[in-house]
Amino acid sequence: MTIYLPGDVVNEPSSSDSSIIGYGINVRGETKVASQPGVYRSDEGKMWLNVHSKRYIPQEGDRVIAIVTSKTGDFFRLDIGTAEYAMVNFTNFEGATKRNRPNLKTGDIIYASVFDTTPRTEAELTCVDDEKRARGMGQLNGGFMFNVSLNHCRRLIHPECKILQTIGKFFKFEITVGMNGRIWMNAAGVDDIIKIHDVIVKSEFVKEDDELINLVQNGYTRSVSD
Amino acid sequence: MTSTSSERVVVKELSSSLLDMKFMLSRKKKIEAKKAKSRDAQLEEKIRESEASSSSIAVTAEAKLEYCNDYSKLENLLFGRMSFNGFNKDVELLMEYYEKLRNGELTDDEDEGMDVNDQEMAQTMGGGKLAALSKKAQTKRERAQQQEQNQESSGGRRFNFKDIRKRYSEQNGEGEEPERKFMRPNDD
Repeated sequence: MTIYLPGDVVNEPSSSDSSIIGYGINVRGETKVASQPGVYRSDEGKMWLNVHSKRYIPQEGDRVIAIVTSKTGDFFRLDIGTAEYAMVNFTNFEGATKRNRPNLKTGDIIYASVFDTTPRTEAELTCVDDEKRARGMGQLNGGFMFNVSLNHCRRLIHPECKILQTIGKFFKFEITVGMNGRIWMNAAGVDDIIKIHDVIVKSEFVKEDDELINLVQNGYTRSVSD
Repeated sequence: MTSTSSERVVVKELSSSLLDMKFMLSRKKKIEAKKAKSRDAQLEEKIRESEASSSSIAVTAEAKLEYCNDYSKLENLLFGRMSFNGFNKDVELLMEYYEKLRNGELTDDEDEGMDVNDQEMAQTMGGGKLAALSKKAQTKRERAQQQEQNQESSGGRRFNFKDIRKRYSEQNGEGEEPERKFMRPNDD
């Protein structure tokens, strides 16, 4: 594991032939320089830094969890954890037309993907894919939302991560992970929600599989009232 | 340049108004992706030509570098919504869909979601007419049997007020219904 600080020259192994430069690395002439502090990762011709952060910077293609804050004309104003509010046009929902507007109120939570991040304007979101289908995006009803760090969110939905699979062995629940560090989940009862929330928050600093299984088991058996 | 113009003649293009229709969305997406790809390739070639002519510097490896800040592409992340032990059936179907999409197993022809179910489709495509025709071809007995079955499946006979009134009057010992008189409304 190699850690780079901003300004460090990234020494990639001579064997790798990375042609895709990812997050946190800038190219200056012949050298690659880290622009953010992070852990070096590489995979199939890609190289990037895994950066720990809590502030989200919108990136095209990210799926995020947003809170409706107000309605202005044809747009809903959304809080996605960035400095500026984001916008979503009311026609960018499945089944919505000019006459048939989606029924969203202030405080509702939606799952949407970022599709426009032009500088100096608000990020624009959409709740449909390019075939005009929702496919899991849209309003999230009920449940509970909380924040974790961005890299923990990414870890949770990494293909090799076992955290959610292990929790799924014990609990019956549903979860939505946003790339902006927000997690929304729903389970059968309040007790289960509290237990799963605790396990997810604590699992950020768990590395080994055994440790993880212990954590989930303890979370499952403990009583919430104490 | 001549090659592109000849291509344009050969390639059959669908009209833009047709492509704007809802059912052509996936095809439109494909065509647009193809166009963008060819445009990029042309642009790259042009740049390479102009660079080669303007300076003697060979195209370095740096030109091949690509930038990608999207973590979900870099780390090959899963879809963010998950459901376990059947808490939300819809989301579990979506998980399968996105898993296929991630592994590149998804074919364009296969459409997993049906907008109109089979029964409704058959009904609108002339199923009603067919049913009427088959009813005509039935014998009297068959028709009676079918009606009986329908009544059983719909939960017995219809409520008949005349029947009930009749039964009620029989219970009370009156043979007939009381005769009704027209009652003229008062003016004041």
